[in-house]
Amino acid sequence: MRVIGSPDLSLVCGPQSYALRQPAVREDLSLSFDPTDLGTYFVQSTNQGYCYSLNGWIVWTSSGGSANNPAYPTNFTEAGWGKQGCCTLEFTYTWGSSSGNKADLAACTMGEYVTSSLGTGTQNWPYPMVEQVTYPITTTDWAPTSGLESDYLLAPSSFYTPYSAASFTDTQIYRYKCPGVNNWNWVTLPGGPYTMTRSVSQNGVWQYKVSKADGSLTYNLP
Amino acid sequence: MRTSYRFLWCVFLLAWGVAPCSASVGRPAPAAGVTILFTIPESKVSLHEPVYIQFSIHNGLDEDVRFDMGLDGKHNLEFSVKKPDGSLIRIPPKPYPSVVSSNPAERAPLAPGRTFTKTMLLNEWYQFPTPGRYVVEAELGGQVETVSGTPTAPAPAQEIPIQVTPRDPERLKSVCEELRKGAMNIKNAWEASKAAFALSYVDDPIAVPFLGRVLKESFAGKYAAISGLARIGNPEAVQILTSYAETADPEMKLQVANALSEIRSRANK
Repeated sequence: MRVIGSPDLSLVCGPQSYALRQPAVREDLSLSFDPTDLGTYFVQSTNQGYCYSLNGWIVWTSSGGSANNPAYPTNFTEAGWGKQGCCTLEFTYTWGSSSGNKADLAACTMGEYVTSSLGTGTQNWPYPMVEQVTYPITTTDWAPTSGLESDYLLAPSSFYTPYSAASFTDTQIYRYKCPGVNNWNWVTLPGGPYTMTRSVSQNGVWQYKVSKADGSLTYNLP
Repeated sequence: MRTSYRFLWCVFLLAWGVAPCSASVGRPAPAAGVTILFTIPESKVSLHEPVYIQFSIHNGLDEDVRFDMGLDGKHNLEFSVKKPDGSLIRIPPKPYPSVVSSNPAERAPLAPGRTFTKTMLLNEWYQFPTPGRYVVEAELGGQVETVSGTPTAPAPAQEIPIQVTPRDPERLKSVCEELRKGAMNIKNAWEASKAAFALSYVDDPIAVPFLGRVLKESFAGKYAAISGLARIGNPEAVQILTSYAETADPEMKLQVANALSEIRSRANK
């Protein structure tokens, strides 16, 4: 049985009252709720039938099969890639739900996490690429129930002249977290991590190139 | 006032996000042609309250149409704001980050008779920093055309008035509390993150403890809370962020470090 309840929720299991700060999952608790211990709780017991009383405002519960089989994204797949305008690479991803119904993914968060060879914090992309980015990049705003998302790799805002050769890589993962899965911590989706390389090089003419997985584009700089 | 809050919340719950829907939602008058409509559901707010704007486009033609809101679903929206003193400021498009994601459904052709509706947080573009009467001019940049390539008549910029009343701490607290509760929505993480996002744009010290609770307790709104605290950047916000500076979560530690760095950088300017 899984129970998500209000801060004053207490779970009475046998002779003791058990409570737990999210998002950990444990079975052998002996912590009672404190009136100042505000928050949302995630209480899980694998001993079905043992906990016999719940006190508090229960926000959400599940039991039986759904407790043992919480929904999470499956079959995460790159559906294809393409170009947007001159210089943006577009990748489209699709996924399904382990329950067979994507609506069951509403409680999940999905997004991406990008680190860079340039380091953490605010970084300037190497000359002649004009762009300033704060790493790591974290997005958590995908709509899991849609089963579909496009991801775009944009070019620098502009390029300094005279051009010179430069290259750097970002590393990207896609991930999710869902209640009841991995203690509600991030789970990396299959396929990654992806290396995204942006470079400027001379090949007869100066070119900007961006690549990731099976996709790439090259743009001749003016 | 209570009705007003409820309305705000209903707008937030029901209309935030993407909704390709029947013509009854968004309520652009069905017309033979393409109708673009911007509305501000709550046209009277107190200072620093979130301001939402709803965009809708109705296809009254007998052919699918394409429109482009931008790769992130908002870049191509163009806003100007006439301030209470009469001056007009043109809001530059938000620069794209290096990686952008969005739902392809937002870029899909719109079928005949259908309406696409999306509600966004206008504070992302403009913060309405003083009380008074503002007029927001909104338009969709780029071309709307049929899938066969015929451009539709360009829609003129629409003017939408909004009244910002003086700062009302009690009302603002109430709004922040509603958003905080929304950010705790454990049944719908996407809605929770949107509530946290709206809270993060309440540019007022009153929001700090609410952001602190979201940072501590929300599953889906932690990063938005960090951004909000960085945006406010007062000593209380710094104190909360600093308390996470040595968290065992390496990812959050980096986000907090970046937020504190942003505050320091702003203070040094």
